[in-house]
Amino acid sequence: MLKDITLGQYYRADSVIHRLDPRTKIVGTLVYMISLFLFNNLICYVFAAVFLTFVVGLSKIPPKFMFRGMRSVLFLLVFTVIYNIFLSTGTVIVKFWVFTITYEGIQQAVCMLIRLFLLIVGSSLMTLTTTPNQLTDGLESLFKPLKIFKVPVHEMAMMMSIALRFIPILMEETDRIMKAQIARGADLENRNIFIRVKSLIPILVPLFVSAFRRAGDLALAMEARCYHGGEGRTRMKAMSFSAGDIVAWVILAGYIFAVVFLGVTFKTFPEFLVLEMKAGLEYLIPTLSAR
Amino acid sequence: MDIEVRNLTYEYDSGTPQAVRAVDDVSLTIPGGQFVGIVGHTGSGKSTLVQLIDGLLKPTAGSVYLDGEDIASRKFDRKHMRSLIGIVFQYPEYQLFETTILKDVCFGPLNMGLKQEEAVNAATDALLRLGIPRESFGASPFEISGGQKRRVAIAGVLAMNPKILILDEPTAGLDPGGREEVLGLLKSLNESGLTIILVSHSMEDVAKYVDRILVMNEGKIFMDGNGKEVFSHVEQLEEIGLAAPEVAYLMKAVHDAGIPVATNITTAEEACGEILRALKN
Repeated sequence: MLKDITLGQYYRADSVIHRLDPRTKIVGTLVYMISLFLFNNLICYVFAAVFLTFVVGLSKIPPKFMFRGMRSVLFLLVFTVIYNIFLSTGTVIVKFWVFTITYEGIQQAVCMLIRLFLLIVGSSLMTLTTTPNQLTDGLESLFKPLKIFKVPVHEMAMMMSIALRFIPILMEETDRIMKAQIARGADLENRNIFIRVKSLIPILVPLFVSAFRRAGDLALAMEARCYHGGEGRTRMKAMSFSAGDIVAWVILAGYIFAVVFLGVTFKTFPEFLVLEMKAGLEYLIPTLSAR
Repeated sequence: MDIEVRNLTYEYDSGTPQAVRAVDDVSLTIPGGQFVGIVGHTGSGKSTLVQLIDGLLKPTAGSVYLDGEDIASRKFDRKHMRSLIGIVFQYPEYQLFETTILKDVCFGPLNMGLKQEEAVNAATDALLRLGIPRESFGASPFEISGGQKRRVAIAGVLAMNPKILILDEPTAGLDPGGREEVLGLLKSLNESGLTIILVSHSMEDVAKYVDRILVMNEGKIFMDGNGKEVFSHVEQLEEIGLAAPEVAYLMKAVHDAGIPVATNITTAEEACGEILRALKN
């Protein structure tokens, strides 16, 4: 019952994308995400979508699996569409009560929807093709320059990989404790919110106890193996750029070039562009503050 | 209370490429009052099977009947079933959560709708039965020893007064003394009429106490019979990564050395008698 969370889940497959160096994938994803916010016309979106479809195809991840993770962000997408349709100004199409639907509003809603959709698919593609360990190794390596400013990069990466590693373990543990308490008659399906919250105690207490116990055990095991942080450590699996990575960098450069070219060439609807940037800001501020 | 399992199948991650068939078309009947041992190596589907019997997992296909009633049916009273079937999971001490031992053991009975007083009585009985002295009832379940925690957790299930008791590796991590204690308790519970289903990978435990052994392999029932029947197929057991009790090997060696003893012996006591008998002749 707890296994349906795809976010941050690795999909095992042997593909060109899976074999890429994690650093390439992190930078690539970042560039792709930025590119989505660089331009404002449909032609560019179509191009970005085609590009992403091509990469997803290469990754050998079944589309069904990709979309399973979308369910959790469905609310955000729906909210965005509604917000844009009803709360933007421009040429009025329909008007009822306090709502007005404008031509620009619909256009913005569609653009935002595509943009967010591509953003989510793009970022989940990275987590689906990269193991959490590779991801943290990649991040550690990319953030290494921060060491000059005394940022404990290695320690932070280690903490992150331990945290990630423990998610499935604690998930399994929760599942087991839940079953054990259900078997003892715990009522987890009651509709009364107070009873439900109260019924979480028999699950949370053992879960916390177990998390602390595991943390203690792990600390002891690490100490017993003389773990002392980042200084002078070598890796069992050293990261290295392969020919595939060079190809990926070239393709990425080509993509950036193409996007900029398309964005500059098809600069249609200048007033719409301004409107959308304005709407984008209006959208970003409430969503960010809502977090 | 009879359990009947018909064509039961369960798949983890059903519908994904990682799908694993943990239980594969299993059918069996466990009559009331039987002491059944389910053995099999890790991943053979034994834990999954018992969770399906208790309705904690929904089968991918097939059904489970309790006294002829389908437990998946809408009319079936699942809350009542929870009081009929008690299940003790692996390392049950990790489910303790209350501030005192007595309160923790009362959790199940109270959920069953018993009054506070009745629940305390049931809990007291169960705790005393598991050898927890009255003076420690007020102690925190997090401060007692590992073996005691295990017994408190088992008491928590027993206090619900089930008719069927399922235990998943109840002796894992216990010292030999603790093991004998727990298994002896199960035997006496069985003698007082409870159906006991013991999931274990320890052939010794199973051979000594149970009436019937179910050997599972890759989600299927590989063998079904009493100890003597099952352990006479040592080669087949070894093929699926299991072993007969040490005694069975000893008797085989004695037999091969030319002393005419029976080889279908499963416990040390029996072996002793059999060797003495053979030597006297």
